[in-house]
Amino acid sequence: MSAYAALTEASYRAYVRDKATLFFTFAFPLLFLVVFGLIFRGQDVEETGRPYIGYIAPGVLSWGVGNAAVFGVAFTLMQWRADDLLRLIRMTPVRLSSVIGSRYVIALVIGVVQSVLFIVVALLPLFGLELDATWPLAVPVLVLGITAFVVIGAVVGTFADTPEAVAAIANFLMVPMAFLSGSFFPLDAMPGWMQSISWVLPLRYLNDGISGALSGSASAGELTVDCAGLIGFTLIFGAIAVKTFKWSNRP
Amino acid sequence: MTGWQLADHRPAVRGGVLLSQPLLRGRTSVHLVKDPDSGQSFEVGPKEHFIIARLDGRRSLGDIGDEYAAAFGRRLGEANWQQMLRLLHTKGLLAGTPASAASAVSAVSAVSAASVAPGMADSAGPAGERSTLFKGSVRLVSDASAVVDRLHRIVGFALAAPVVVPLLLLVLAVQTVVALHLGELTDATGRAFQNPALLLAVCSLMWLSTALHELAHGVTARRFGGTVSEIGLRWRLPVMIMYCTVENYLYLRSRWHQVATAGAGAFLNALFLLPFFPLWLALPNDEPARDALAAVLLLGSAQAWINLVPVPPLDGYKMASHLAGMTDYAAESRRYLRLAALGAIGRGEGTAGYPRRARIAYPAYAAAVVLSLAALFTGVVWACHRLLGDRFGSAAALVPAVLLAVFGAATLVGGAARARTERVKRERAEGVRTEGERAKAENTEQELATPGSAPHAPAQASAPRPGPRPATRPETRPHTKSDSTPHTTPRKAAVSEAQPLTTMTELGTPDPAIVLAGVHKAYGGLQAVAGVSLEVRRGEFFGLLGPNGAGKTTLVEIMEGLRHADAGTVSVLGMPPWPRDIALLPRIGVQTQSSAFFVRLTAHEHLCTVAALYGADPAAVDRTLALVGLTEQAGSRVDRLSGGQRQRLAIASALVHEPELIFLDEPTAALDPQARRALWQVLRDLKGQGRTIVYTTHHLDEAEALCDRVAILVGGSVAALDTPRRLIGAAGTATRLLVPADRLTVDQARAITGVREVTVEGGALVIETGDDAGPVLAAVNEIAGLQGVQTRTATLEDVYLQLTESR
Repeated sequence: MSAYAALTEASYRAYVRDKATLFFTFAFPLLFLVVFGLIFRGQDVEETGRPYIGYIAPGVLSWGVGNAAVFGVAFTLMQWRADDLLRLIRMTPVRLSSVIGSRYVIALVIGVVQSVLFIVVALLPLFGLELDATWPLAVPVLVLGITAFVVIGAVVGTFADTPEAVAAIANFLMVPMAFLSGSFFPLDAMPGWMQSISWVLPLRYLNDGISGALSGSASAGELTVDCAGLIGFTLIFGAIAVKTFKWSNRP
Repeated sequence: MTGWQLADHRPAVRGGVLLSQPLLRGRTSVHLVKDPDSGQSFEVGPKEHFIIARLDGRRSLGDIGDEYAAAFGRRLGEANWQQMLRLLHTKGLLAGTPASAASAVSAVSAVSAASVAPGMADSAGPAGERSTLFKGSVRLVSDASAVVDRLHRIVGFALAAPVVVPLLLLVLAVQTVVALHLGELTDATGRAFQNPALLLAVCSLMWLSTALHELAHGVTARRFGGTVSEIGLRWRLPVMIMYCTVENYLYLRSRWHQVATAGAGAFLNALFLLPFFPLWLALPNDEPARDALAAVLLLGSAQAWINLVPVPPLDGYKMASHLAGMTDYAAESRRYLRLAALGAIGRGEGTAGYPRRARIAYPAYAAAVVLSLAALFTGVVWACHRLLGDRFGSAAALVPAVLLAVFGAATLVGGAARARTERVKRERAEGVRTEGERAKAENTEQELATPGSAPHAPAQASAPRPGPRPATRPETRPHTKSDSTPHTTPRKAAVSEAQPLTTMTELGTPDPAIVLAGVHKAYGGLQAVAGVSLEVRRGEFFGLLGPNGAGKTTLVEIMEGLRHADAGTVSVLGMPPWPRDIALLPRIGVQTQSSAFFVRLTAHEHLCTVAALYGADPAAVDRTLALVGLTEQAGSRVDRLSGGQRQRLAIASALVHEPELIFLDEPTAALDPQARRALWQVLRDLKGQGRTIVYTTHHLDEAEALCDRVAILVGGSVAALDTPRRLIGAAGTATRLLVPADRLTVDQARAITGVREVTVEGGALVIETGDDAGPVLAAVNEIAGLQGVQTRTATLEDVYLQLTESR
């Protein structure tokens, strides 16, 4: 078995054995979907005349996926460093790309499974999401979005040394971002200044891209902008993650 | 004996040994030979084939020699025959010789058996590698051969020409209609994509078609005398496909049989569509199910046609290879074109020496590849534009075209780079091997093959050949069919080569394991290590002692390469440990903190992961767990182990890859006395195997019992460094006599000459004397008798306390 496969398997086992996290990763976004979906059932957004569910489903989905990526990677990194497991890995002849790649693949798989589950539920007549033929275009946006949030998680995991710190920092980032990027309320229904602010948030691009692809309302140019935005955030936070990475908590 | 000794021998090749039709590899013609018992296969030249094919036990070697002379115009000498027979003997191919050691070969057999499976991209054998969640395979039926026999009885009639030809015509007719309605079908497929239920149904049908595809290979091979050895599921998430392994597919009698076997899968994919076609025609236009049928027709046809693209590992490539009678068709074709191109500009020797067949077949292959890839490219771009064009305009065609082009270019560049590195690797390996063999070959006139020594890793055998090969020197070499390369095999070989432990100790290399010279390390204002110079010899058990804060940990971390010394030089096994060097790391083992385990894994899983990180043998995991006495806890989660068990698992993590140099950090600290003694034995055994051990401890009795030499570290520098014995001797510390208190008073004891000090400790008088306790002992004997009197000579602890307290 290659080092990459072994690490992936170890991460996978650790993940599925953590029942609480497993439950919340998949159930939390669904809970939001149920709450918002039922409250605004059958309503349209005034500004555009499109159904509310067409905004909220992609919004909650991108928030859920981003949240899971940030928390998952940050917790793993923090814990591996606190347990000194990073030093063990550093003493083996494994390439850093295998270590990063294995964790990345796990995050990607989690994100994709989350999305499929979420979309299937949203398609139920109760919620009434409708997919446009352009939905496959959401896949690249999703992959780039997960990548960006994985990298953000790596930065969080580097700065936080305890589980409490991870939760605090990640929540501080993700909760306001969810509101400001239109995950829970359609941005189209928000004041203009808020819409402008949202452009500095990575979730905005993920949100836009997924909702545009699923509803078929985005042009090729808009999708390209979303992808480019996510790539930009990946590069910025990737540079920070590489720059600040540390193998051990000890000086 | 007249003439030559072997002339009257009538050796026979073992029953069941398979010989292939002649195949072209570059300029030379080769045959494949396969031993069905071991599963090994290799290539031989036409001359060897000529002889092997005639070794039937009836003809004598003399007869065969005559035939050979008639055919090739040359007589074989005694040495040639001996060499030939030796080759066959070592390969276990002669009747009466033991089948070539089955155990040694079993891993190879799994790989080569799987690699002749038609239609399979991956050649990792099911028995060869452990399945994981992400990648692996599982057998579906216990007796695949019987299952295929039964299937063949039921559907075999359909393989007769009177049935196949009309079916083929029907399939072609349907495909023509599909081609004519391509636009309509594409639109309908796009609509089906918006309906999840329809999409799921279409995907399921497609998967079923893929499974039947594999069975079609099996049944067709069975019809032509092939044997199906395995049917199973293979996955590399997220893709999961069925596979069907045909044992002797490359040895079918006629090349047409091989072509048919390889093509059966794609034919079945097309055949599978027949029932859906009339339904699609019959349903009214507005029926949603009609979209699903259209999707099945379109995707199913694409599946069939894509399988026919002549690019490895697709079926089309295999069909092309068989049709042209080629082996390594793609790689050889590339080489031919390169030579032809170089020849055209006047460099190199060009394509001289290639037979006429090759001059047609190689360029033809290249043309076929270019054409079919161009068709595929056009098809995909066209479909994208058709589906998304009304929304995205020309971008819908442009973006996929650019993406495909980039992807294609990346694949080409990656493939070329990989081919080059493998060529370099193989050239290096062959360079070592051929020198010895060339000497041998020259002795035997180079008339007959020099046997390729050991079974190669398949990756080496299937990579493109470097430069032209002398046609006068036919040779045998292990053969694999598939162009795909299982990467694990060469890697494992490299790892085992990287541990020359036995040779090292045999030679008794004199260079030290660790050399520190003037090492300094400071944290802020604190000088943790202040000018340490020492040497640890190979095979030595070296103890690092010292109070907490003396700099032991920092020093060890500098040796391990976890920290960089501020000043001074460090050499570990002849290499600098800083910066991180992945060539050095597998040779050293480090016991980390007892918390450094992969979370929520069991002890066994954790150690398996560590072993994989080191590229170590998976079998070492159970061995190492037994070594540290954790066999019973193998299935326990790491977070549920006790302190001592965690510590032993941390030690196991340092030992699992059998390193030359082992660093242990207070390995016995949390262990109970039994476990501690058991670990002593483990450590002594490791030393007995020639490994070097560096360890820190606070148990001075242990250091005295185990260590060859100890260094006592005080305040960041070495206060003493020698064998425990000599340290105690040099310190000149006192000997103590313990006398039961009721036998002697303190004053009586003080009165004895030679007594330095008397104290009372726990019901005994402790009398401290100088080096020679003899006269004092005699005096005590006179006053109180020696019953119950104990003598305590100085220990390392005394030396240690003396050194550390004086500071």
